[in-house]
This record gives sequence, C-alpha cells and structure tokens, in this order.
Amino acid sequence: ITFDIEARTDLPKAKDNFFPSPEVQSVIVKFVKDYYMVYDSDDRTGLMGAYHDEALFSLSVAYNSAVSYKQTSLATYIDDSRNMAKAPKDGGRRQKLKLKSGNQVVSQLCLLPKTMHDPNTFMLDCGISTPVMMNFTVQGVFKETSTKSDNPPIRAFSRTFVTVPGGSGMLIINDMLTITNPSQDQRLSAFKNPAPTPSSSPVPQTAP
Amino acid sequence: MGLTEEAQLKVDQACQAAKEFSKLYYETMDKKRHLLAKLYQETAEEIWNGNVHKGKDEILKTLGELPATEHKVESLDCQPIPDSISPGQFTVIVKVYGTVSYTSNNLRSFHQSFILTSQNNVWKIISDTFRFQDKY
Repeated sequence: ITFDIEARTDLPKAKDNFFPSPEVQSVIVKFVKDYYMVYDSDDRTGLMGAYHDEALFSLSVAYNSAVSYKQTSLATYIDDSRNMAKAPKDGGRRQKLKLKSGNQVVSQLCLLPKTMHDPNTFMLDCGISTPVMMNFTVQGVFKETSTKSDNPPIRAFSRTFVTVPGGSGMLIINDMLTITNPSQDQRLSAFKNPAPTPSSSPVPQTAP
Repeated sequence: MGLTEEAQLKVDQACQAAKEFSKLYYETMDKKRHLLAKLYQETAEEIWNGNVHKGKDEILKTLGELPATEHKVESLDCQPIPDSISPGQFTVIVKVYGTVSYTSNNLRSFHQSFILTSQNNVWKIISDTFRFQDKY
C-alpha cells in the first residue's frame, strides 16, 4: 500500500502552431511570409510600411545554457541587446537608447546582420486576436548571410509582435526579438529541407 | 525621432514592472505554485507548447499538474503598448528566455511572453505564451 502523493514526471504533449481560428491563421501566416521575405532581402527599408508611426522595437540576446557544444559568439548583437536580466554596467543609462521607436525601428533592423530564415523551423503561436489588436510569436532558426565564412552561424530566435489594423491590413506596433544559439536538434535540422519552390517557377519537377 | 518624455516614463514603469514580475512569477511557479492564481486575470489565456488553456481556473489546473520546476531567466525584455493603441489602459509585454528543469528531466530552453495589464493598480496576466526552444 502506497500514498497517492507521487508527483507526475511526464509533460503534456506539445502541439504545433496555435491559432484561435483558421481566419486568424491565414492572416498571420501571410503576414509572416511577407515580412521575412523583405527582412531576408538585401534591403530591409522595404519594411517601413509594415510599422506603425509609434512602433517600438527591442532586441535581447542571451546564450543558450541548455546546450553543451561550444557556442558561436553573440558579440555582433551584444551592443544592441536590451536584456534586463543582466545588470547594466552604467546603471541603465545606455539601456534606454536600446529601445527604438518610430522611424528608428527600420534603421535599427537595417543594422542587424543580414539573414536567411528557415521557414520549415517556424512555430507560430497567436495569443490575442481581437478586432483592435493581435499578438503572436514566431520561433525558429536563421543563418547570418552577411558573413564571408563558409559556415555562417545558425541562430535561434523568438519574435513577438503586436499588430493593429492599419496600412494595407495590419501594422506592427510592438516588435520584440530574442536571439540565442540553437539547440543541438535545431543545429542538425536547420536548412535540411529544401525551401518550397515558388509556384511560378519554370523549372519542371523531374522524377528521380 | 526618440520617445517623448511621457512615453519614456511609461517605458521606465514597464521595465520596473517586468523586473519585479519575472522574479515573482518564476519564484511562485517553482516554489508556491498555488499562489499563481493571484497573477492571472479571470479571463486570461495561456498557450503552453501549443495547447490552449482558457480562464484562470483551467490555467492553474494545468500548471499545477506539471512536475516540479526550476526556472532560470537568461534574458528579459519588455515594452509598453503605446498609449494611442490602448488609451487609458496600461498594458505591457514581457518577453523571457531561460531554462527550465522538471523533476528528473534534462534542462530545456524556453521562450515565454506575457501580456500584463493594470487593474486597480495591480498587474494581471491576460495572455501567456510558453514554448520550448526545441520541438519535442
């Protein structure tokens, strides 16, 4: 005879992307697709129209302390990182400048390393969706393409957006990006699946 | 264009709230989980690794059933939702990155974002999205 106080040790099963409705799903999926197409291009100024006049952007960077491999330096991002979990050396004066607003947002995005995101790794979760506001998070991996190295660093990210109606549909009012290093699984699976071929591609599918 | 003085004040208040909140939330989650109820608004929604839980009671039930946890925050950031979007309502987004270990399980990295809104001068979670960095 035992006591019924044994705590459970298993975790509930994870599910893929969460959207409250198929309508919200199609809006967000299209938005994310369009957004990263421009974000991954040579010129991010094209994103200007995606942001509200009062938009805010901030970046936070941290190493992944759950992995054992030797991590790639995050030095390129540290100066712009607003991570408040680390005590600022100057008492927080510079930290204030790291929150970008209005037209500073896209200028800041242009300064970050050039990227290529792997849409096959994306996981999307929509938290709030009302007629006046939407909140969703995109998680996944990207590689830095501005480096000349044959082996460009692969990073993991999570990005939380708040959008409001406006422009040609919705405008970003809050944009929070966290960059870290990938897990071992993310490292091994990144960019392993070919990107979907654009439907307009003239190249016919050849049978193996 | 930088922030107006008024907007900067809101940012400072939001940051203060985020620091206190993240400390309080994970301490409560790890050590006295039953008290988490006080942090969630009645109609809050939580998305835990893609599973949606609606309302404070359901959130508390599912969080209560998780194995014992130990969280460590590696990164914390916050932003207020600008005034013109939610006039008269102070709402902030808190974004966390860290690690969590469950009883007899390995360390996992996670991302979590909260939306907090002030109600009678008290912060309440209205939305909570949690996901492991790794698919599992």
